Amino acid sequence: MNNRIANAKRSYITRNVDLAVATSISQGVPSSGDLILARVDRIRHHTRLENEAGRREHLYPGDEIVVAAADRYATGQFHARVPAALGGCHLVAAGGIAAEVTQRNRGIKAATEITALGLLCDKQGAVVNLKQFAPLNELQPKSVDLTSLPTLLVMGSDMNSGKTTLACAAANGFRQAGYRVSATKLTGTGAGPDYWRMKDAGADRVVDFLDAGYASTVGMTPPQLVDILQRFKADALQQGSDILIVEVADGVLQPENRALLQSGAFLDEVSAALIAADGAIAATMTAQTVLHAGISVLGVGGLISKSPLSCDEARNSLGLPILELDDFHRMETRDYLLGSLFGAENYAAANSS
Amino acid sequence: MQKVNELLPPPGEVQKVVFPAISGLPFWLYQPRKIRNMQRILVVVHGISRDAEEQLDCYRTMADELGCWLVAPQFKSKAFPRYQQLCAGSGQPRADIALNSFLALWRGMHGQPYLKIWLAGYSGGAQFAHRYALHHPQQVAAMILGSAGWYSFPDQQVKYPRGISRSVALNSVRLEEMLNIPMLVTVGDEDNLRDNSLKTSESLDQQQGDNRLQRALNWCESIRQLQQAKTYKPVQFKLLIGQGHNFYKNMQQGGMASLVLQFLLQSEGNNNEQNTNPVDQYSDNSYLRVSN
Repeated sequence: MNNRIANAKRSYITRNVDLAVATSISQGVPSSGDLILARVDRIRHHTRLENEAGRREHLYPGDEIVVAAADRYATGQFHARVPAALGGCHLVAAGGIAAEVTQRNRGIKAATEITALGLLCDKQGAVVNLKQFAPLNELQPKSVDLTSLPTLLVMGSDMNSGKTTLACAAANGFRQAGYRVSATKLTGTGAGPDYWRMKDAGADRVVDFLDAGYASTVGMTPPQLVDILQRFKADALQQGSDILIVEVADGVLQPENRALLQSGAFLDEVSAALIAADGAIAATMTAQTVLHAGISVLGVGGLISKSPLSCDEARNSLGLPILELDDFHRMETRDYLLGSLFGAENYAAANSS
Repeated sequence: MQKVNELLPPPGEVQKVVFPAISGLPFWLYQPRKIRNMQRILVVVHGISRDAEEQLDCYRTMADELGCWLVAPQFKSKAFPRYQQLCAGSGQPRADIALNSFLALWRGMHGQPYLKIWLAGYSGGAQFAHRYALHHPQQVAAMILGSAGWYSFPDQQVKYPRGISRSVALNSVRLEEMLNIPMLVTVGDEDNLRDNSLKTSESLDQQQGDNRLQRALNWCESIRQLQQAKTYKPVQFKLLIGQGHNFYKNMQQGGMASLVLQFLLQSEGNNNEQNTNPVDQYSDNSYLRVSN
């Protein structure tokens, strides 16, 4: 490996990458997923870079870092595009995404400024891209009967509505009930916290779009996302998982999510959904949107569950179960969710044997 | 992919609809010839024969008179074996949640966040209706219980479904809110047979009475006592003269249809027009700002 690359701080986004293949740095126009050697110029919003093991390493001006070019769509942070050229750009996610910010949430600082110094290349001079390090691409995507692998979608009203917390609570509850769980993140921008939290929750297997070779899913079409989901399923079956949990980033109004909810191919891959929301209005609209799309909603949780009054409002408005985190450890909640996912007969038969 | 709104019948017509998000529960829907009240829908629930169409046939005229949509869910035996009790046990499908999913969907489709239902059930449907109202009183504007076989009595010491002590599979009941719902109970004066379709046991008979007539009287009395203590309007009880246990005859010959219509109009304060325009309903001069 090139010494300069070896000495650089390595980001989470490279967790599947064998950096030994990167022998040189070249100039060129970055594409999504291309690995970039960058220099930190000015520390702003992101003060730390998450490494491939999950530790958040403090950044200092002058640090060299290995990141990937990708878009980002995050209502709470940045809207950013793959840099049009090497040179000045931004670190837009602690997981290691280099992009040019086009919009910023005014509640946060400007993005940390970096300079993209060059593209990582292999000994043949080809640019190293995350697609070359995608373990899920070795699997054949397949549509799986939902009774063989119930697939629980976790959808939210927006960024930071509590989706990952809800997905992890479900994963932990099912795990404690004796089920093997694959927890996955289908869309978003590569960042470790959700990945590690799913592991911490006890999921037997955790994969995300990074494992399919994507640093970000911004701008992807439903067929592309269904292809990733089917790879998650193939992986889950190979791992012997009983249940697949699929978290989708951002809210139901996010462009890719809107397209997903209008895609028959995607809807066919989902058994039911849990809704994460930060308030009663958000819960109501999100649940109604998901129901309208044709997906059964088993319950509502997320940030809303911290506010008893908001829960009452949502309960009155929707009449659907409002799930607090503790509920996933109650047998009746697990029975309700698992019975809904597997079908009452199958669930009862499994429990009696 | 067909849009959900395209599944609905045109005015004056009936359509059986399976909403993809609630695939286990088909609905028979009737759109009145002229919609005058979008803040209410009339939900009518079949008995153990699970004949939703019969419910729809008997309530169609009333839906036209009320100017509201008529909805008859069909709780099929395989999907909802004990829909009368909302749920057959832990891990079993929830009939109440299925109906609530429909209501959430409907509110979103029609932009009616404050919509409540008029809920009418006959026999097993009346069992469903009052147990649904016990768990989801906020969804119900008024309730009609016709000739239920047996009831959940408002007794915290008795386990659900005979009483209201918490069921493992369901949330706790909201009795006080349920007591505030306008309620009409009907039963035929000849509905006093202990036929095969009537659930009987020594303890049930002792708690509720020997037949539907006695059980309806006893349940109404227990509810009425609690309502009086709260100064709520008491449940209405109407005896259908010369009637046995037959929904169609009760409605057509026993006067149940006109009783129900009168009760629903009364429950809204004979003021349906008020409901046709929520803006008017909430207009108040104190909120108006007038220049100069």
